[in-house]
Amino acid sequence: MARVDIKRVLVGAVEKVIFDPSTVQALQGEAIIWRNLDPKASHRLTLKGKDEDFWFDRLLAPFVEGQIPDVTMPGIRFFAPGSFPYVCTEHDDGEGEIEIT
Amino acid sequence: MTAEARQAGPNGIAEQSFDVPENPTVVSSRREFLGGALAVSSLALSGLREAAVAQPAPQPASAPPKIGEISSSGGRLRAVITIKNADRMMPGDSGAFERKTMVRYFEGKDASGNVVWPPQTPAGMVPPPLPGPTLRAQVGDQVEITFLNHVRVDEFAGSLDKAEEGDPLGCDGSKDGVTGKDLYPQEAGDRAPVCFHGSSTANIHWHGTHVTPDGLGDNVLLHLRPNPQVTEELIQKDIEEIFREGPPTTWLSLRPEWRERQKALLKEHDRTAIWKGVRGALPPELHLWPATEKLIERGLWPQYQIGAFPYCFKLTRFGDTNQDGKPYAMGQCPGTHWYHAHKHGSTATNVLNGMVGVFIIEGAEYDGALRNIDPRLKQTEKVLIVQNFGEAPNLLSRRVPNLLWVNGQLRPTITMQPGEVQLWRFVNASIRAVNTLLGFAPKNGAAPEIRQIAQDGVQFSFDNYKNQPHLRGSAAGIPPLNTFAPGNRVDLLVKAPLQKDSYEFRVTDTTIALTESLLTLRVEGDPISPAMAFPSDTERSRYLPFPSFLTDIDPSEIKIWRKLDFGWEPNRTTPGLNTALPIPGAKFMINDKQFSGGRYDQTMVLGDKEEWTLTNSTATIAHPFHIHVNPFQVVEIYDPNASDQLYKPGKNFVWHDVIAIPPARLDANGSLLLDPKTGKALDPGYVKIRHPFVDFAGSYVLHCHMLAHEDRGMMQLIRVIRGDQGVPSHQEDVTVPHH
Repeated sequence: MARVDIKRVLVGAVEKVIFDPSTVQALQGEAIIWRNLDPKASHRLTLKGKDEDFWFDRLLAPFVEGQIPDVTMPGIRFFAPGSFPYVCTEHDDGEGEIEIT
Repeated sequence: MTAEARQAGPNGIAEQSFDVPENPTVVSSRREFLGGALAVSSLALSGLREAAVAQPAPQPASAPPKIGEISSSGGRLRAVITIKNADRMMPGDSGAFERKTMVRYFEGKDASGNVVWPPQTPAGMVPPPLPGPTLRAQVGDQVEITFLNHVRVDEFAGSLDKAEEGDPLGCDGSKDGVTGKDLYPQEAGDRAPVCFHGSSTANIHWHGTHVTPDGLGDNVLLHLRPNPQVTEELIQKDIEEIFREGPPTTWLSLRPEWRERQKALLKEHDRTAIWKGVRGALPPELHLWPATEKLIERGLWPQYQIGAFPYCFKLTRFGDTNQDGKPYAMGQCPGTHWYHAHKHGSTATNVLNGMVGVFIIEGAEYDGALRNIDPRLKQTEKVLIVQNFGEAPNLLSRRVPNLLWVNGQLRPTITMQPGEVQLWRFVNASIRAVNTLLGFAPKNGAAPEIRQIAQDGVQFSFDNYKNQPHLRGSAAGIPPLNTFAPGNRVDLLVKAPLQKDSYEFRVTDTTIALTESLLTLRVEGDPISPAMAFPSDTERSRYLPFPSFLTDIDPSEIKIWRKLDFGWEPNRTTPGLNTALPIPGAKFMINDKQFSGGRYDQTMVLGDKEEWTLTNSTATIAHPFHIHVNPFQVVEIYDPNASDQLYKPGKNFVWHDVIAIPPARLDANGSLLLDPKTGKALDPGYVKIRHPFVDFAGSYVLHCHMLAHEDRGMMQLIRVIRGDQGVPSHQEDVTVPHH
């Protein structure tokens, strides 16, 4: 499934932003999107080590209950197998991974 | 799903289940899935559902699944069709199911509220893609379809309805993850609104119906935007009233409760939509309610609606009178028709996802007459819908879906008794496959025989049944015409030989020059008794009666001639991306212009009969021309690349609503022969047609039925105006940017 949800969860007493799933698996050429289910913050994703607007030139809007969540556009496609770590340019909570088979 | 919905429909279809593991380690073949599904279905009826799910029974060669049907009763075709989205196992080039992909699909409920189609999926299973439910009505019935758009746009990967949220090009799009390079639309050079966009906004085209293009009829200018909160329960009371009152002639005569709800929903959209990552920041010029309000103030139908739409129209019977008390010039032809999603920009993606279905319209002159000849012809009738499946068109997905699926199954097997005759209704719902029907390959000196009896839902006259103008190749060694292009329907009578064997039914997909077996006919069992035969082709009186409104259009009645050229930009020689040209992607155009909402390219006067010459100035692609509302007669076909170049029957013209225009002449090297002065094709293929613009004024479209070409520009907005009226219609195209 080439879709990742950005969520805000409690780890102990600390709120943390996570990617669900943390490693997204996709086939070569399959599009991947992220949707923001975090009600508190905007997010923007980029391939690790790349410029902040390498993939997306805008932030994903925070989630509002009852409304359709914001989704990355356009879809990201990989045409070679491998593992690709990515991060949120607005936060340093953690990183996710894309695994292309 | 409610408990009621789980109940089996009259034919038990709702109980079907698919046995497809979520993460298959061994990818099973299509046949095994559907073989299993059919086994489940029959066992479910005997109350053995649990055991059946656990033990699917693969079959070596399976019958094409019967698609769930919703039939009219008491003069009304009542159904709820909902666009939903879910994961489906998408096939790869070999036909094996290789990837889970989010797609949109049609769910069909009958008048009792039973989900007739698609079959129920057990938890944890991901089914293969399928077409929508089959609808069946009678000429004269009123069609009453509650159409709901419950797509969750945030769940899509391959094609997104996010363009209106601030993407500067306004198209569905994709990027290369490693290089960050933009793929679509930049690579092709496409720009909104002539590109793939707004893929979760939809409408339904009732392809083959002779009804109004306005209001609640065959209205393809409608943009029904998704909103899962608009439920059947919420609108049920209003829907009942609208259907009881019958089709309204204007928006203002529609029930006030319906109009007020739509106004509130449109305003809510404008207030809460996301723009460039900020909710509620949609710029005023992109708001939908003000544009809608302006149309309403002018007495026109609104283009934008949210969540629900009440399709309501009458399948006109020849001889009935219209709202002005005048008799209709034509009637609805009884035959094999279909319906599919048709919002400009999302047509190809939606149809490729499976948002299509067969619409059988029955009537005395066709079904009734066949039943009178031999009731078994009706009892054993096969409804066969041919599709390609994919998540998005190839420019977006980088996949070209070539395999042709029949009722969601690859190369199914139909079984007949020796000597049996059956009616096969074929619908080409592919977005790209222009096919020639080659018929059956002989085996050991025997072959099943075929006779075409209808094209595009219009029955053949006795002379055409006798002469078989489309399939004449089987007799004279001349190739048949390409009469099974996207949008075409072909009804065949098939007679099994006495020799028991399996026979391949072959088609040639002309764009990729691939001849393949579409399905297999297995002849087995005892010879049919009493014996069956084709309807008489020697005694006119024993053949089907031919409706009087389908006789040849008299050339002396033609007052207007037009020329439409289906082409691309000068000096282009192939359809693929060409970086040597200023814009790499082919610009598909009609008369050198891409589609533009709001510009009428053709205006006809109601009641006129016209002759059009349709030329094709592109190479290798036979663009299938389609026009809504009225069928047309094909009087001439010129194929510059064929040895038998001119088809010109002179009389007994066959009615179509789609005709593939042969591509332009190639040189000895297989390159498009260009006029060096103009950069355009030197010798285009062409088709001449005659059509009556009768019974219904209004705005609609003509287009190439290779739907990616339609979305990318090969379409015209046209209108039929009443000679005695200044106001052209009740519907205009006022597309708001980015939608």
